[in-house]
Amino acid sequence: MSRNDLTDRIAVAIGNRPKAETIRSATTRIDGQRITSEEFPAMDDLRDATRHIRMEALKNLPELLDEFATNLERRGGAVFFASDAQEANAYVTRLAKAEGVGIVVKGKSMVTEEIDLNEALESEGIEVVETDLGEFIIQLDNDTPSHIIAPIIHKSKEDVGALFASKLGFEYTNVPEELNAAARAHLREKFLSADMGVTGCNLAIADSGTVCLVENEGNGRLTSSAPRIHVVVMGMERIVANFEQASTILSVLARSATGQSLGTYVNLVSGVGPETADGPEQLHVIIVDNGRSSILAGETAEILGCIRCGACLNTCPVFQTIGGHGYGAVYSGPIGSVVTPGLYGIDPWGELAHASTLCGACEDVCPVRLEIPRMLQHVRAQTVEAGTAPFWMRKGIAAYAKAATDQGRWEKAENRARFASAFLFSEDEWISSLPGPGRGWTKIRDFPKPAKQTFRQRWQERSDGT
Amino acid sequence: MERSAFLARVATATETAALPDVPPTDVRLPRLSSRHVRFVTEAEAVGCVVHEVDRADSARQLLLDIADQHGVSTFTAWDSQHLGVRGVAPFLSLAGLEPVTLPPGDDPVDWRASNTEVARAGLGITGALGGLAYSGSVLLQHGPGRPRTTSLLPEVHVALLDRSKLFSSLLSFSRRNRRVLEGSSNLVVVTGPSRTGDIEMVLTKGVHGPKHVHVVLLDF
Amino acid sequence: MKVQLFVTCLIDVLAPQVGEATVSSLEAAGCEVSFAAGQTCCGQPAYNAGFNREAAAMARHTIDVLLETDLPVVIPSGSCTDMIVHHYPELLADDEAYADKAKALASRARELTQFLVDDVEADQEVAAKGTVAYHPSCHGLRNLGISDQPDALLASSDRVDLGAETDVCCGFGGVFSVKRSDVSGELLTRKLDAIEASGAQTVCGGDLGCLMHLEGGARRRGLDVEFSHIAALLEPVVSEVSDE
Repeated sequence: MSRNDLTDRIAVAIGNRPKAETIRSATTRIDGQRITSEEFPAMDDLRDATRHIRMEALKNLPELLDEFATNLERRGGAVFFASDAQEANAYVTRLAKAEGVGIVVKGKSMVTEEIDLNEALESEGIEVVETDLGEFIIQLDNDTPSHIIAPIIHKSKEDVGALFASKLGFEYTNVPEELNAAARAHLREKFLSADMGVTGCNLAIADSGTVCLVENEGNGRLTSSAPRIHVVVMGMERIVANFEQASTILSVLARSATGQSLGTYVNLVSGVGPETADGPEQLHVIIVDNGRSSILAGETAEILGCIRCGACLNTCPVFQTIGGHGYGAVYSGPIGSVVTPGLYGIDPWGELAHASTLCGACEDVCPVRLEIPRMLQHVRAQTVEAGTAPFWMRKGIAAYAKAATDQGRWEKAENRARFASAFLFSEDEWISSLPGPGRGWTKIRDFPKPAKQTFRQRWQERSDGT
Repeated sequence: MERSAFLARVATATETAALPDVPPTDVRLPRLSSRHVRFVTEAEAVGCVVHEVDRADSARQLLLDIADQHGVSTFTAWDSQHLGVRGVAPFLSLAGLEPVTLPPGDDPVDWRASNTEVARAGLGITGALGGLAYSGSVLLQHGPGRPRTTSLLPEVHVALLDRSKLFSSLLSFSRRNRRVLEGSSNLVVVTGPSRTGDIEMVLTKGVHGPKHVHVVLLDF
Repeated sequence: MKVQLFVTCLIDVLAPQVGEATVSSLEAAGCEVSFAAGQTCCGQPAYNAGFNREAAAMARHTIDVLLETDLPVVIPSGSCTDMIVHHYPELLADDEAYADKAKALASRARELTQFLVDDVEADQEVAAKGTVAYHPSCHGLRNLGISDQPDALLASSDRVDLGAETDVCCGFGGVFSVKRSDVSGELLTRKLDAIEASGAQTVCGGDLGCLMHLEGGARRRGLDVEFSHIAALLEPVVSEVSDE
């Protein structure tokens, strides 16, 4: 992605007025549903506790992962530590081939999007079926999700109806209940014939070797129960010490995401046990690094405390304007603007951190109280160090700083600005066209003309007068 | 990558990680004057139908009524000792409903065939490990005689919950049952019917899981 | 009480009358106001753009100037106050010569409405033409908690509000307004729509940057609304004298 790509994506997002309106109304609506401390006073304490739990987990990450892996194995599961996407995909593909897997059903998992697991499996001739309704629709349409928890926020029911009609052969309908029923029937058949189910992991619980998976549709339950092999792909940072800590986080997760007290199904999967026929025979958990340790090593380490609730996306005025596709990355919104440059490099992804006014709404709503604006500023500082700041900005800031560190230089600069503005056309003290980078301002706004006398000049006169 | 190499890399990272010191917080949710009242309110708010019975025979009759209400002719149920009410399967069978059951725990099973069987059932009947008042949830602990699919594949799920097993919240449940996750390879907290708002944020029920959830509070 | 004024670069150059109104308001509240002429800019534009070295240089200069005396500093800008209070100590944490000075200045810097309402309980109120809405600039609102103070100053105004759009960023964001004029423009339109829908005849706020952005946009769309820094609208409270 180059700087221009971001500008192009934003232009596309803003240019499609109906879609832009859909994204704005959907995000503001979900934002409005989020439970605040006015509505649920314990939220403040829960958020403080969540921050403590997540920060301690990151400090103790190697110990927790080790404990989790040991307990998972004790309970009949298999663990694989994947240093990168390629290792993770190789493991899953190898397993699928060895087990003669023909169909894989998938629950919603951002980390599997990140590592492009579907493509790896499909290139080996394995059929992969997304079962989360939004992800299923994305897959059918060869699209990408535009939000980490509401993937098709950008699609209308007419879009979905047309898609089902053309790709699944259903009679066209735009009634959501009917579309859901169609998906249920189609996917039920896949669930019951799949050999392997792949899910993500909201939280791993170290002392019991448990994988906790939260969802509303029941596809997570089916994916982790019906096929004989259950594979969990987990970002290495998604871990807590025990069930009480997990419960604390679960108490803020859905409340921050959609305003529910809990997601409809909280699945607590602990190994493979003495089951009747309806549980998997094998459980494999793949713990993925893929660049997380380099984020952990630096100034933005705490971003790994994220619990993927989506609250920052829904409340961010920039996200509300450009949607997930505007960012062009798997992780979008405020969280994505810190994580993406961390995982994929400052050049060019540091640009995402500039697509923010640092308004702080994200930090206000984050259940982990992540200091996102601080980290966005840090990413910006990294872009400057990496030399990717635009030429006019480097020159401009350097000149500005030079003037601003000396009274004499500053007053000369003020005089020059006032002098220069005399050459610009203005109407009743407002300029309608600025040259150079100032064009960015006057494209859409008038700019006030510098006053005839600065405050300091008037002050000086006042003092002289007395 | 080998476990120790992976963890060594993580350990190195933690040495320079900019992570704040955050003191722990002891979270206490406000005490409920009545867990029972709150449970009913929250369960109904998420779309469950809540019933209360004080006798076993009323419970059995209620199950039949629910089956009739939804027009179902087949049912599947957990083993009797896990339901909290005896004689459910015989009672419903005698009333004309067709039972669909998996073979008992130790028998080898064609897993694909048994899931397809259970999917035929219109009604799934489970017990519950407990209930959560703050969210209107029921806790289902799975294992031999307590299949997951019972509460997952049929369109109607009925959970029989002993009224004395109401906890105020998931948090308080976890504090009183710290080792509960050792007891089963699958424990699910169910809060209402299956749902999605993915299509234009229109809330629809019964996506992949049940469309209707009934909770029967047993008070005997 | 003696205080010193940090007038801010924008007000100095573009709206000196706001600086003068600030001085009048402080004097009406019983303060003797001084102005350290060496002041320039707090460095926030550089900091927000990621130019930490340049921002630190401007911070040191500002600290030198404002610590010439030990007078509290009053600032008619939430974002500049936020910069000094929260970011100066961070930027200069490893600077042996300036770390303590940064903390000292941070403890003395107060945004104008904070100072008037919380510190000296000034008997002043906003006197505006017609209905008035308040625009809460993000840094002041979220980082300094400024909300009750403008409310107090607007208590007897004919006030309208922007509903759910009140706390949504106006899209100024400093350099963002130029660098990302695409998104800035969208947020500007959104905020002006809300202002128009509210029927406000005057919009006031505590940060000139936001107000310039809003007024500049309002002019383009022919929206007839007065925009003013809150300092320029403050008048002594007229106490009702009983006839008895």
